[in-house]
Amino acid sequence: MIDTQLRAVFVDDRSVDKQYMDRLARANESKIKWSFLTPEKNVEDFSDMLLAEKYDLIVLDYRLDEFPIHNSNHQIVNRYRAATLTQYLREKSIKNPETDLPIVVVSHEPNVHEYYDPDLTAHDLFDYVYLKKDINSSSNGIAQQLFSLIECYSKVRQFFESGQRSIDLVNILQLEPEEDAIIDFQEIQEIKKLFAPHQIVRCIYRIFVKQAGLLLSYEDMLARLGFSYQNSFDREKLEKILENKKIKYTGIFSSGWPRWWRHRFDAWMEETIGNDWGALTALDRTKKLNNALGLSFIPALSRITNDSNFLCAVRCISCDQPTALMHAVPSYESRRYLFLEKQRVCWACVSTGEYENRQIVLDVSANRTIERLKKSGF
Amino acid sequence: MSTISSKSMADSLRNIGSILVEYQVIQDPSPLISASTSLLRISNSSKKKDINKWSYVIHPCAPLEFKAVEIKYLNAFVKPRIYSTIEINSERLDKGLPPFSRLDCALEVLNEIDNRLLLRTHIDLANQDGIRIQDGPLHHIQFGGHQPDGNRALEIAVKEPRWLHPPLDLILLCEVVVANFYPNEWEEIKKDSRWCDLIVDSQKMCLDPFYKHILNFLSISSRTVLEQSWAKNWCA
Repeated sequence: MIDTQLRAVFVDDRSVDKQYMDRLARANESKIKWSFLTPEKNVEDFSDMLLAEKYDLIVLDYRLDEFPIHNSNHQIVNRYRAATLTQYLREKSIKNPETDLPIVVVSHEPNVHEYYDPDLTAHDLFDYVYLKKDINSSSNGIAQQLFSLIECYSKVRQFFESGQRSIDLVNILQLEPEEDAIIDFQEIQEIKKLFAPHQIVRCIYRIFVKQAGLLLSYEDMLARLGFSYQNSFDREKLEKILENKKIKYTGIFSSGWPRWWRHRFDAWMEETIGNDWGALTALDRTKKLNNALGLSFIPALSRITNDSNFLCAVRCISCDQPTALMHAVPSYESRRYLFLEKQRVCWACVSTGEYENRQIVLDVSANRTIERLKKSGF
Repeated sequence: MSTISSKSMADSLRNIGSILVEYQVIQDPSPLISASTSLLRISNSSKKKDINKWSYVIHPCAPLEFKAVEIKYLNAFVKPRIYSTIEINSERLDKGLPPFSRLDCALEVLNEIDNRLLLRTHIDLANQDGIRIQDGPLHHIQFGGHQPDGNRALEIAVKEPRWLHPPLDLILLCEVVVANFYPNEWEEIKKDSRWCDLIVDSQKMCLDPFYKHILNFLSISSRTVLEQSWAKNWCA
């Protein structure tokens, strides 16, 4: 829990884009006090100034160099982008981890695709990248995620401030002590050897939050439950049931990115409708769960067969709909962890090409199926 | 005769997943990791009286999928996939039975291009409901059964015969798949001591008690092996 007044800074070379900061400030004005700055100094001086201010969060436009700002000698000072500035900040936080803080990019879509996406070395510097247009449509959600990032850093910094040699993952993730074997993977235990909070926070996001694995998103759970997205009223009831059963994840990131523990969810499914639930169709699973829990969810509908008599298992990462594994192809992932579930794209999204709009690349191992779907549908 | 603990099986499932990925016969080990995690949960929460009992499930909706492989005589690529429900109760060993209180390991082979089911076979244990027990060998292999899309109306009609067959757990079924469908990888993987250790552990759990009893049955000349291994006789 954070009690003190939090301070965030929004840095943008376009003063007119202060409107995006204002929207974020309105979304959570009670939690964070916002300031707006233009990059009015050279990169070293500007990074020193940001650190000296001891902000809790820095939000950067990616192109800080689009609109020249001159010093008193008429020299342009903002000859750098967010990546260069953040590199300075991150280097200093490795020496002084107790000063480390969340840094996110908020930029216009063309700048993100044209400048940020190809700058691969920059990708590990930032905690998250948002599009400015998304602040218009979901400022509350983004503001909540920014607050959650501040909480993450606050929690992780405590380990460095207290002089502990490594972080306590069971504590950070709020697992029960007897559940520590769940995270006994080398890739997870290596987190303890990292040097600064920003490295730890990014790693935990990538391993636990970004895709289904040890934790599940709401949409991942629906695919297992066999439920359609319709019926938002019962979503609250369902979430309450899962919270009471302690399935809800309460570790870092949880206030901005709701997740549920997979091992607890699977155990609860067994208790509720039996250990052969994975052999039931979406229709049968929904009937049993609605009866057992007093819910009124509608069974998921396969986009391939237009029927609820299918063994739904995973979420299509393109359309977010539940799909059967046999009606999906894997997406390409450059880095794989054993405990993460392979992400899938349903046949419907492959045949229509919908997945391309979400910058998803399909795995070449499914090329024969992909060619067939693109040529003649399913 | 000893059996594997839930903790050891949890480690074995995790390790077999890692090895199968390393030899590039599977892409997604998450069904194995998920089953392993459920065993760790049992292992940590078990009271002393329950340490002889554990179970894991690889669900039909999320099976362990092997990479597509060409079958030249079919002029097609096929995808083997396996799923299983296994319950161990090692007290059964004291009653002269293999340790499985539930065993269903299914192997399906689908045509890659259209998911047509080309083969379905499963390693099974005769169903028991109170004192009633299914006709057929206690441990058997059976062909046909459920369709992969969950449509019961399309199930293959004839369920017999049930062939006398030793119990195979998920790990031994993985070995069967690798050996039969991926001969090049099989040549390499069988030289790997990590793989061999896992297979040997499962053999001890599955095959030792089964063949011990079959050898005993062979020594009795008045009754056939099939008759003695019939579920109602073996469990009598």
